[in-house]
Formats: sequence, C-alpha cells, structure tokens
Amino acid sequence: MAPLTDHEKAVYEWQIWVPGFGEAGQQALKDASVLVSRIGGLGSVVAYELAAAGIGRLVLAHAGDIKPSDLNRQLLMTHDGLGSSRVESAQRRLKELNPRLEVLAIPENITEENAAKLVGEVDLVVDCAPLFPERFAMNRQCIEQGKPLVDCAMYDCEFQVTTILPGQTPCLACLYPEDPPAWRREFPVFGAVSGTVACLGAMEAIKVLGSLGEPLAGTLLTCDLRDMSFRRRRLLKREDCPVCGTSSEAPPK
Amino acid sequence: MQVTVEYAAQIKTIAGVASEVIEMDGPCPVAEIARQVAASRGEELAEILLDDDGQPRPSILVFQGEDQVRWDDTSTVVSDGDTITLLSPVSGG
Repeated sequence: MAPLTDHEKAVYEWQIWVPGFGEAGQQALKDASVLVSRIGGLGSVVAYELAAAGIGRLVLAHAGDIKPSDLNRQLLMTHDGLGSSRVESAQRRLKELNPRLEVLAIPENITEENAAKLVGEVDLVVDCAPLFPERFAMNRQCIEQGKPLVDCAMYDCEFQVTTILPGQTPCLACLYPEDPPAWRREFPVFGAVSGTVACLGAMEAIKVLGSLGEPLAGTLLTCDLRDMSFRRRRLLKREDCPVCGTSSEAPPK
Repeated sequence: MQVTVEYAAQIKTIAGVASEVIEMDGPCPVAEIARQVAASRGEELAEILLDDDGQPRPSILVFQGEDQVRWDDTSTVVSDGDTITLLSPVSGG
C-alpha cells in the first residue's frame, strides 16, 4: 500500500500524537477498508468519524431514499437531499470531508444473498442495521471470514456496543439465539444518542485496526443517557452456538 | 430475601420503572425472577419476557451483577442482595 504522504501526516497530526498509535496506526487506517451497514443514525456518524480519521476505503450499504424522519439523526443526509438516494448523499458528504477516501456505495441493505460478498470486500464491519436478520447475516459472514465486527445498538436514551472477534469472543448469535419477536424497526431515539454510540463504535474500529488499547471484546458496554450510567457487562460464549460454536444446528433466521 | 431488578430498553418502558426491589422466598434460579416480575407487572411485560410455555425468551439478556447468565443455567443461584438486570434486544437504525 502507498505510504502516508506529507499532506496526510499534516491532516492526521493530532491523532498520530496519540501514544500507542503513531504513524504506524495511521498507516494501518489508510490501508484498511470497513463496511458500514446501514448509514442511518448510527452508520452516518460511524462513517463520518472513520472518514475523518483517515480510513482508506468505506463500503456503505443502505437502500432507499432520504425521508423527513431521517433528518433528526442521519447526519450524512440533508434537507436538500429529501427524496434522493441515501448512499449517494453519504458518499458526497464523506468525500467533501476527505477527498482521499475511497467509497463503494451500495444502494442495498445487507441480506443473506449479498453479505458474503460485501463482508469479503473489507477488513472490519460495523453493524448499524435495525433488523436482526441483517445483523445475523453480517455476523455469520464475519465469523466465517474471520473479520472483526463492531456491533452498535440503541433504544430511547439507551445504547450498547460490543466488539466481536471471531474465535475469541461471543458472537451476535451467542447473544441472540433467535430473531427477537418483540423488536420493531422503528423506535424512539434522539440523534445525540445514535451519535454517541456511533462515536464509540468508530473508536472501537480504530482501536482494532490500529492496534490501540483494548476493544470491548466479550464485553457489552451499556449506557443510559437519562442518568449517564455506563456499565461494562461480561458476555457469555455459547459453546452450542450454531454460528461460532461446534454445533451443527441451523443458524438463527 | 430481597433482590434488585433493573429493567433496560423496551422492558423498562413497559415496566414503567428503571428498577425495583422484589421479595423472593429464598435463593432461586434467574428464571424465577423473570416469572415473578412477569406475574406482578402485567400481561405486556409477561409477553416480552416469557414464551407461551412460561419460559424466559432466549433473546432477553439477563445479568447477575455485571455477568451475563444463561436462563437455562440452573447452577446459577440468585441470592439475597443480588442485582439482576433484564435487557431486551435493541438494534441500530
């Protein structure tokens, strides 16, 4: 891969100063590619922070056009873009911030059909999807392909984030062995909540790719912004998990 | 004995409280805690916590202190003074 240019060293100077990161960490980000699915309230901010941090390539997967109800939290979407493609708006905004960034914009949500190919395009995945079948498809491919998965989720003023390292930590199917029957795609949330967990998710990706600090491996960080309580919870791996365990049971649908 | 039960995400909205202290007859598996609060807090909470057979739904995460426990782990015993957290699934968007 191409070494950091003098211009890049100038742009990323303040984070290259971070102990334990340095030019080696910055080079690792430049050489890395990340899939962000979707690019709504969570994914918009994850993608923006990774673009700002100098990630080399982003793969963005999100179907559909911008709606008025997107605009309280989907910060890569604008009022002027109402009715136009989400991924096109996101690509334009990201390139304004970082013209060196390579973006592959896919106007599709993750499915069982496209997950293998899209996960195969990248070094790490950030799961920002609202539906469990999308999340299960990404999880399964990340486990099969040995790719780290940063999993972000939210509800109301609460959020959670964990980092799944294949072969080392519990996976998403360990946590949720079935598609939760009560979950609905639309739910209450502020943009400041999605933005908070998105920044944490982006930082997890930077840490894993740049070999910095300790990611939330096997740990679920939960937070309630109503009272600003942060908790670190230890997760259990299921030895009988149909995705990362040794069982031959069918994976969750 | 007394156990503190914390509710998170959709469960908290349905329960209407962030936490409560409940009385149990004595040390018990975590599934008994779910059945107790399902019985005391109404049908809507019972539906999200328990399946048609009265068993805790596998997608509801349960923690004893900060440690996740499995609903079917009968070796884990809830004791006087413990804090149990029930966390319903959340996602992105």
